Amino acid sequence: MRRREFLALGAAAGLAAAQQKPRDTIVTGATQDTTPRVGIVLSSFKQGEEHDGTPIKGLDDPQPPGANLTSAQIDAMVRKAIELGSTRAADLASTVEPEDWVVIKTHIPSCYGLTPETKDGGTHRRYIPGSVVDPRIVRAVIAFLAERKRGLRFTVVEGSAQWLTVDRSKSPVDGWTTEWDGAFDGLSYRKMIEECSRRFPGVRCEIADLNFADSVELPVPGRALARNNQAGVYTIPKIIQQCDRLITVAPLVTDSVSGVSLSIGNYLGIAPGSKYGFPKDGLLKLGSRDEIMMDLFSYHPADFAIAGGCWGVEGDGPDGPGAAGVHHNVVVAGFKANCVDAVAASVMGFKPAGLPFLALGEKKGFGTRDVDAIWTRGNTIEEAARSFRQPSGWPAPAR
Amino acid sequence: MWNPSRRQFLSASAGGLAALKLRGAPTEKGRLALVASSHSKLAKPSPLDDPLDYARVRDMVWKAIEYGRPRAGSLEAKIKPGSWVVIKPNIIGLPPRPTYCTADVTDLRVTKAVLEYVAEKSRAARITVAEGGSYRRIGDPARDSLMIQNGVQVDALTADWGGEFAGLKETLGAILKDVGQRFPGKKFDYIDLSYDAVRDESGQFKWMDVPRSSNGVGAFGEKKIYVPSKTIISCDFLVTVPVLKVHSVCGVTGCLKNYVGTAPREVFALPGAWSNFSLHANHSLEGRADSFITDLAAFHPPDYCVVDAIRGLQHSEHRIDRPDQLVRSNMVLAGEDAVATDALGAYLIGYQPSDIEYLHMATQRQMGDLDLGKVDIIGEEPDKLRRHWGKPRNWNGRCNRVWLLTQDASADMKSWERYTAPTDTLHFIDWKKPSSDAAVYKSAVRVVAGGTRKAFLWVGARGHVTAFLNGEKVMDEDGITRYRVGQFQKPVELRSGENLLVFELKPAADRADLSALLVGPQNDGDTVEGIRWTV
Repeated sequence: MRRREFLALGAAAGLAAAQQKPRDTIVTGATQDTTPRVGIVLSSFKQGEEHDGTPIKGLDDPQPPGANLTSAQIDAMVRKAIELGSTRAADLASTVEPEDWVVIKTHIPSCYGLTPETKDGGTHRRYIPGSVVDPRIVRAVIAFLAERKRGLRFTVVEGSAQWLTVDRSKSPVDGWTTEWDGAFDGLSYRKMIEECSRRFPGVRCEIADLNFADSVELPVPGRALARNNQAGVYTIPKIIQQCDRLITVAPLVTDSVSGVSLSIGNYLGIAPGSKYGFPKDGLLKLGSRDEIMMDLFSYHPADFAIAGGCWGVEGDGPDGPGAAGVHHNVVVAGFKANCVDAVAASVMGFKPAGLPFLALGEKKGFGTRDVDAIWTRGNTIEEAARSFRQPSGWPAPAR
Repeated sequence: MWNPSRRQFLSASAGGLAALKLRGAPTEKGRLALVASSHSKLAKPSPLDDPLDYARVRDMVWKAIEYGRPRAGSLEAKIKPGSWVVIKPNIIGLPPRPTYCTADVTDLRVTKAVLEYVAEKSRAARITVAEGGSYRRIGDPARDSLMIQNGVQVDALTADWGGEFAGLKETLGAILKDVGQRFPGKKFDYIDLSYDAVRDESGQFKWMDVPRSSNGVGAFGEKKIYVPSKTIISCDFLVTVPVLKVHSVCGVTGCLKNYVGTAPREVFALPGAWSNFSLHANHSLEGRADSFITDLAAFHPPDYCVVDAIRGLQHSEHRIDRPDQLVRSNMVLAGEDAVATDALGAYLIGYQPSDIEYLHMATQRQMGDLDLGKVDIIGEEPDKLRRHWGKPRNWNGRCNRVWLLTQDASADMKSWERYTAPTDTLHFIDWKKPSSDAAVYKSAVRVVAGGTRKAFLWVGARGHVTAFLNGEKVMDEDGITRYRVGQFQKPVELRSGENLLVFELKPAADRADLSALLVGPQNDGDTVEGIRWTV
């Protein structure tokens, strides 16, 4: 269904219901609505409306997209995006059961505070504001679920190619303990988790570094895409296979190879460095970056995806010489990661049709990349758009 | 005629064999037909990717009915003169339902071919096509679940299928009208089973016990009573005509799963949604649909089966917008044994028949034979047509059921107690309460493998579980969150012959649950080929 048709359909369905007579359209039960929904929320979101004209309440304290936000404002933005990314059949809270083990795959590729003297593992590339997920966003997700008594165990995970945990390094800090030079209200991931543990005493909140977590060799569900991975097997952390629900959270970042790195690209971080090395060269030998990320995604396709935050990266992302931070307060969220990434890429000024990883995701059934077939709620793509400078030479001629 | 290899036999029929031992082997081999469009005896053999036309589909269906003749000698011989015959296709959805796509429903050409066969060959007095789908019938005042085409509400009888079925443009209503004119001595009609609940004299829904089979097996569902369809319990002869496709909850949908459409939605739907919600909510068994599939079929087990395996859906039973979801196979199956027919269908699309729980339940009810080695398959060789379709996510095969159990850490295994779990999950506490706060349950099972096998051990556990394979520790995990089958997975290698699996489980939060499954090298939830569980 095209976006225009969908708009017409929504309006017609509303009318049909109101007038109690059949129209030239589909009138179905709520559970039959399969159109993917993606919420888009700028920090300035004041009020929106559904396609049938029903008003959508905006944020209580809207702020310009370039404003520095408080924790409360970020929390509200995330919750609104989660709400708008829900379908008629299910919202995030009803998807997670009270006894579930929820894993939140955040994105912390780099670490503020590392110096050349502490290069004892990992690649220690420069930290660019916008390249990591604001821990306040992850906190908002945990709080959203724990307040509703959803989830018994929350594990925030990452496996960076660039830094090692302090217990394996001479570094005084790592991605879990750095306070980011005061960014994010000076909140480290460690502090954030400790805070959640205090706030939700019946719930187990923890951090797990995937580089050295227990792992298992398993074949890719379906068929492996990575052309050099003949066996179709990867080593993956057991956490990823064993958890009940997986939520992927990633910033809006350009990528010199894939164009953008969003909620699906985030899965490259699940490959353990203990197996694939630092910076995971062993992984990237198995095939193209796009193929590998989709293979890894297949092990546990995200149950919910969130892309965005306050800062992203443009130019030669994620950390090339021409990469730079972009301040743009927007959160994009939904159940289908491929759809979330297609919308997020559009917000960044990329054409989803030109991003090969989205085509792979669509083929594997992870959601359409056609934004005209996605029901966006909240801000429109056009309202939320902020043209991110594309990587130099993108798209690569060989692609 | 196809005779399965020893390995296929072992894996496909382990459960069937067990059931047979309980009730004695049949005296006469049943027949199953498997006809592909390329079959040389057809009037116009066609490639397996041919879109076909009605004449060729009809030829396939009639040939399958001929090959898969019942023990009575023929389908028409089995239908007694003057009978009321019901043909039950799967028409779960109609276009433009959002979850509808090609192969979501039985190919109307197959339904028409069965209808014409029965009309022409049998001496039935009344032939009814019956289904209860997820759409309101015309005249229902409810405003949800209406299917509207070109501004007009439609139902199964009137829906326009467009070019969905090559060579057939008629509606089901037009087909019925046509056969009515051609066979004036017979009555033809359509009944929407969603509105066909059995009622008592006061007009209230009549809840009925599931009929017990002659060996005393009753209901499997958690709720034991149902309101069945009046037509299903009243007709003389029932032909189930499903489309073969995967199913997220029970693995495969075929002859028996087709009975879900016999449950009247006027009974089982919630207001505002024309689904069988309360059937799933109340009649499942530990969250699985197998129980009510078998229970519904028990009200009138299939008298004959014709399976549309022309096109089917992999990955999920309804549209999921995945480009490779539709699979064309151009096959038709037929026979009077619904269990064997479903077992063959499951085998053809890459399942282990013994992994399909409702086939075990139906076998217990004596509805048929899960053991494909005990039927003659006429037409094609299944191995040549077998494909491995994409399994639904979260699919798992049948876990081990028979265990040796103890709470005494020092007891010799010879003294452990034999226990049969009715479902995939062994609830230790149902067997025996923990003897102390420090109690550790131990369970054991032997796995006989017909050669070395690489497999994945899938374990679900509530509590701290440790697993040993042939004395070697292979798993040590904490199940402290939601329990589910296959939460813990580990590659293992089985040696040829007997292997011993032992589990130790320390309860958590006063619960102690365990499930174990050995999955094949693709790790897609299917039991590894060539093994059997034994104690």
